[in-house]
Amino acid sequence: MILICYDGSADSKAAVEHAGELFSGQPATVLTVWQPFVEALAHMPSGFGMAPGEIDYEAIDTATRQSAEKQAAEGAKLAREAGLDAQPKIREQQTTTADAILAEADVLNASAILMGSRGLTGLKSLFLGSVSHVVLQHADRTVLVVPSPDIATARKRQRHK
Amino acid sequence: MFKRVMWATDGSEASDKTLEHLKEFVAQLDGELLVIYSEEFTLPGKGGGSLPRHADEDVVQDKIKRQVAELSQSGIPTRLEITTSKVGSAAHEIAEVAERERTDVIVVGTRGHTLLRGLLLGSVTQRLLQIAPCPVLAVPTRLDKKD
Repeated sequence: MILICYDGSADSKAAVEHAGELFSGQPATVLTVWQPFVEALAHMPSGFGMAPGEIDYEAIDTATRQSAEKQAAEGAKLAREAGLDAQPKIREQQTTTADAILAEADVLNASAILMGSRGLTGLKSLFLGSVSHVVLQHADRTVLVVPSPDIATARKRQRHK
Repeated sequence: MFKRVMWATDGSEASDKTLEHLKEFVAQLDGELLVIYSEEFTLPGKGGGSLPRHADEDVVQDKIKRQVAELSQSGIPTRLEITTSKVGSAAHEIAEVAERERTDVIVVGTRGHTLLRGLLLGSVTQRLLQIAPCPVLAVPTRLDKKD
């Protein structure tokens, strides 16, 4: 079972595509991680300028969860089109996105974790995204890091300067 | 489905441990393998006065040549490329070759955590992950496997 991390970004789409090419026909879980609003708030010391009593956490989380489900379903569809036996899954983030990914990989005992490199074009394309970096540092299993076509092109351009 | 796979090895024990996984991976892909080893020097070029970074460079290269032979014998079309680079630019060399060879995926071993968590990735692997023109498969190679 391979675990594909999907957030709708260009490089996660590239990860799905490469998963199809390199792990053809294998069972795959396409995972979208979502964050409860209270967690998002905790990362913003000044808050969103709303009084605590005004916030309907449940409604926000329900909407977030639905959005994540939709995204995972989109990823699973792409994965099936790429030749994988794919199912969507969402997971609530408790601490960090990377931790959620690693935890899911453990639950599935995934043979590989696939994810986008999450760089940005230009100079910033030289850096690995924070989630990929942490997953790579802590995974006890194979990790495939995939640059999106734009990032791959930007990296080539950087090297030829 | 034909695939061009590159195995970037630094000649370390950790890299050696990726061999079995590599064999399975490439065979299952019906792929072709390019093994690349970057020989690092303290000064640019082999010309006057530069020293190889590893004191046992010859031993390391012999080992890699044996590994290439072993891979070929297992039925995988395998080539070896030994490149030269300044200390610290091995990742750049590897990325250059990957671009030239239109590599589909680069396989590297990670160091595996012993006592030093957080040093899972060697410096070359870390850099390569940032600049590679193609997907990179990082294979864990626990040197002290505890279950």
